Parts: sequence; C-alpha cells; structure tokens
Amino acid sequence: MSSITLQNVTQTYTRRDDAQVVLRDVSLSVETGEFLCVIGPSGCGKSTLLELMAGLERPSRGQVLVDGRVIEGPGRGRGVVFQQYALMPWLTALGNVEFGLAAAGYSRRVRRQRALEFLDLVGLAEYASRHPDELSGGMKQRVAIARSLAISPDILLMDEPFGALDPETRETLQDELLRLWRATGHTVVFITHDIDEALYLGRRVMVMARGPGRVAAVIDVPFADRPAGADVRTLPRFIELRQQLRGMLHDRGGDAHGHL
Amino acid sequence: MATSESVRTMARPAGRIASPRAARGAAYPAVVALKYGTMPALLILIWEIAPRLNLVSPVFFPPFSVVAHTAWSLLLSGVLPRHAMASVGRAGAGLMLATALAVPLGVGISASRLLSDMLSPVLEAFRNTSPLALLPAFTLVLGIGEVSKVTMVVYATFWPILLNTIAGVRGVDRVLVKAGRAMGLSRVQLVTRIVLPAAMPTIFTGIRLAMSAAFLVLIAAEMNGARAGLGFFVNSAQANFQIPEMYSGILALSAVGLFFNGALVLLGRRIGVLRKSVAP
Ligand SMILES: Nc1ncnc2c1ncn2[C@@H]1O[C@H](COP(=O)(O)OP(=O)(O)O)[C@@H](O)[C@H]1O
Ligand SMILES: [Mg+2]
Repeated sequence: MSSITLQNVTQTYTRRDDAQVVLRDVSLSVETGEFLCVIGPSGCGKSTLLELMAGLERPSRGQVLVDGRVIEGPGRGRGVVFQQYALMPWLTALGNVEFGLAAAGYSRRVRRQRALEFLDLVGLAEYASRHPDELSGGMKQRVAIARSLAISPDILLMDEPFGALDPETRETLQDELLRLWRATGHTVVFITHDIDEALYLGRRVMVMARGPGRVAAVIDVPFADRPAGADVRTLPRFIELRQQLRGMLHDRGGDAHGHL
Repeated sequence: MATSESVRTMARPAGRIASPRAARGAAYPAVVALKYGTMPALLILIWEIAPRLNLVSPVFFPPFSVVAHTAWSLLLSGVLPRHAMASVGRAGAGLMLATALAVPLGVGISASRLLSDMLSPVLEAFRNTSPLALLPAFTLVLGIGEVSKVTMVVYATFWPILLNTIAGVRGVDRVLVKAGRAMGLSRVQLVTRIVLPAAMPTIFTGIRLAMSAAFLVLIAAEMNGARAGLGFFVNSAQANFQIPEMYSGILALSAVGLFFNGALVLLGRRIGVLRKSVAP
C-alpha cells in the first residue's frame, strides 16, 4: 500500500514561444488507503495532475513522491484508468486484461487464470471473448478497471472514468468501485467534474481552480462509515456540502449550472 | 451480486458472433448461389454467344467454350501452371521485400519529425513517378532477369505500403499509447505491442493495394522481355496468333489475382486485422 505526495509542483507547457502554466505550486498528500476525489472546472489541469502522479509526465518544478521516494516514471504499483477506456480494439476483454498482466511481467502460465478472475470480479466473466466494439460503455470501463486491478497496484489513478456513461450505469459502477475499494484497500485518486460523484465516492474532496491550475480547497467528507447500500445523497449534510462545493466552483469559473 | 444483473440489462450490441444475415444465407444456399452467380453466368453467356452470332470476330474473340477448352489443356499440360508460378514467385518475393522495407521505414517516419521532413521531398518525387515510366530504365540498368523484375515489383508496391503505414501509425489513438506507457512498456514494446497492431488494418489495406500494383507492373515487365511468366505467355501467344492461348493466359491472370486477394483477406481475418464485413 502506498501514499502519494506532491511538493510544490508546477507544470509548464511550452507551445512555440508561449509558455503556459498549467499547474502552479500544487502541494498535496494522499494517505495510504485513502479515496481522494479531485474536482475542478475543465482545463484546470486535473488530467495533468493525474499524469504527473502516474509518472507519464515529469513536473517542470517540484516533486512527486510515492512512499517518500521521487518517482522516475510509470510504475507497476500504479494503475491508471482513462475516461476513454483505452482498450486495445484488436484484443478481447480477456486479452486486454492479459495484456496488462503481460506488461507487468506476469508469466504466461498465471495470466489467463488471473485475467478470468478479475473479469469475474467486475461481473464480465461471460463476456471474456467479446471485443471492445461488442461491449457497452459501462462494460468497457469494467474491463479497463479489471485490467488495472489485476496487476494489484497499490494506487489506482482514475481520470473521469465514468464521465462518458449514462447516469444509471454510472451509479452502478460507483457502488462497485466503493465495494472493490473497501475489499482491497487501494489508495484511489479519482478525478471527476461531477459534484455528487465526488461527494459520494471521496473521503476527501480536493477542489481545483483554473488560470493557472491550483488547489482551491480540500474538504473532508463525513460519510466515512456509511452503511452499505444507504443512499447518503439525500442526507441534509450531503446537500449542504453540495451547495458549498457548487459555490466554490462557481466562484472559480464553473458554468452557470454548477457543473463544469 | 449487483453486477451481473446490471450487465444483463445492458444493451447487447450486435456482434460478430451471430449475424442474422449470415444465418439466413446459410439456410438458403440456393439464394446465395443465385445472388452471386447470376452476373458471372450472364457474362459467360454473352462471351459464348456474341462470337457465335458474329457480333464480334470469332477469330479475335473466340467463344468462351473454345478458350475454356484451350485453358484446360494448358492447365493439364503444365504450361499455364509453370508461367503462373513464375509470376507468382516474382510478385510474392517483391511484395514481401517491399513490406519488410516499407513498414519499418513508415514507423520511423511517423515517429521522427526530422526523418519525415528530410525524406518527404524525395519520397514525394518517387511516389509520383509511375513505375511503368521507369520500366525501360530498370531494364537498362538491371537487365531483363529476375532481379530487374522483382525490383520493379518492390518499387511499385513500396509506396502504397509506406503511405498506409504512415497513415496507420499517425492514426493510432494516443490514449492507447498513453495506457501502454502507464503499464510500463518500453519504447520498443510500445511499437510492437500497441502501435503496429493498432495500425495493422490500415497497413493491411496498403498491402492489398500493393498487390494489384505488383501484378500490374510485373505483367508489363514480363511483356517487355522474359522467358516465363503470365505476361510473357500472353504477349507471345498474341504475337504467334494463338488467340485462345492468349485469352487462357488472361484468364489465368484473373484467377491468380482473385486467389491472392482472397488469400490475403482470409489471412487478415485470421490474424484479426480485418473484420468479417470486408468483402473478399
Ligand atoms: N502535453 C501537453 N502539451 C501542451 N499543453 C497541454 C498538455 N497537456 C495539457 N495541456 C494543457 O493544459 C491545460 C490543462 O489540461 P488538462 O490537464 O487536460 O485539464 P483538465 O483535465 O482539468 O480538463 C489545458 O489548457 C491543456 O491545453
Ligand atoms: Mg481531463
């Protein structure tokens, strides 16, 4: 299990002669086993933040540490789930999960068995031989989650994974993700632009602001010991927090609906 | 578990597993035969009747039955197979060589801005120079032997494969590469495990295009000077006024082309590069 720390991370992209500051002086710490949601208006650098944690980008300034050590690049301990699923279209569901295992160095002998196990975990055992274009959006994202979980990462980095799904599928997957998280105790960083999703999933919510991207606030979500199956979305405290977050995002460049 | 229920309620997309059309076709083979067989049968009928009614000269355009008879005996005597094998060998060797050269170069060009900028003026010039225009030059420099012919084929097939490789690699979904990097793949592994498979359908289309080009230039080269090959056979039959033999050679060429294309499509499906929907 692992923790992540960002120390004064600034990220600048140079396009021609133009230097754009995407993130300015972001510091943050995610504890082992924590579920952190990151929310912010589009373009505020959420994906950039996640790619820094994944080791896909190097910070222009500052440091990204996992378990107190500066990371040099992507690592087996961190699994990434993208909004666009990122499944290999020429492979079956099973093949995609096996692909991740092969990349992580699992021997041919254990790959098949383990891939089937994790497809079963996300409820797709029957669909193992389907190709991505024969799966619905929700099923594709399940495959992607299975692929990430199968390599038993300590940290799961998710970039708006449910953003392209219909509300019903989205809520089902939210519950499944919580169930998996409770069962495995991964450290999860979950990016979203949906306030309810952030409050429902996160134990803490980090609010980002735009121009340049920075941390606006970090709030604790007090539903840690929610009974399984209880819908916290109707609790007065939830509604209160939703208002509060909406206000924060409004002030900092969300659109008129409080969505971003 | 909540999972299986929600999975079941999700829309089952139409897959390659059971297409109702395929099922219907399988149920009525006579319908399929009628659908695909009518036009060829009609053409053969016209070919048979037109010369017999003297609508075209039966000397220059003998009826189908006469050509078929000649073709059959040329097939049994081994003459047509010998010439066909000579052509197939040259086309196949050229195509494989061109693939082996063009795919890596295409990947390199797509990966490197510098390489792309440096090579593009030369590539543009060559690509727009018809291989047929270069035929006399090739013959002059390399003679009329096998090397010259295979080189012609390599030259003609190189471009479609190269251009399709570049287009295929450039078209690879960036997020797949990002996912591969996140999984810890090395640069070489990214190319072999993600970029190439993702670009393969487009590359494969290039190879199919290249195959038509291969036979086109090869037949021209064989007519230009050779001792074997279908191009040589057709040309010399015409020169010797062996008209049914000439048409037999042309028929053999069509058959070889159809066979190769069909084989490529089957191969593509087999290795998962082509969808079932691609017509052979
Ligand atoms: N590789 C890159 N090169 C140049 N600019 C980039 C790159 N990645 C992101 N950006 C810029 O950084 C800003 C933040 O992008 P992103 O992190 O995707 O935001 P978000 O995920 O919050 O919508 C955008 O203005 C985007 O154009
Ligand atoms: Mg984003």
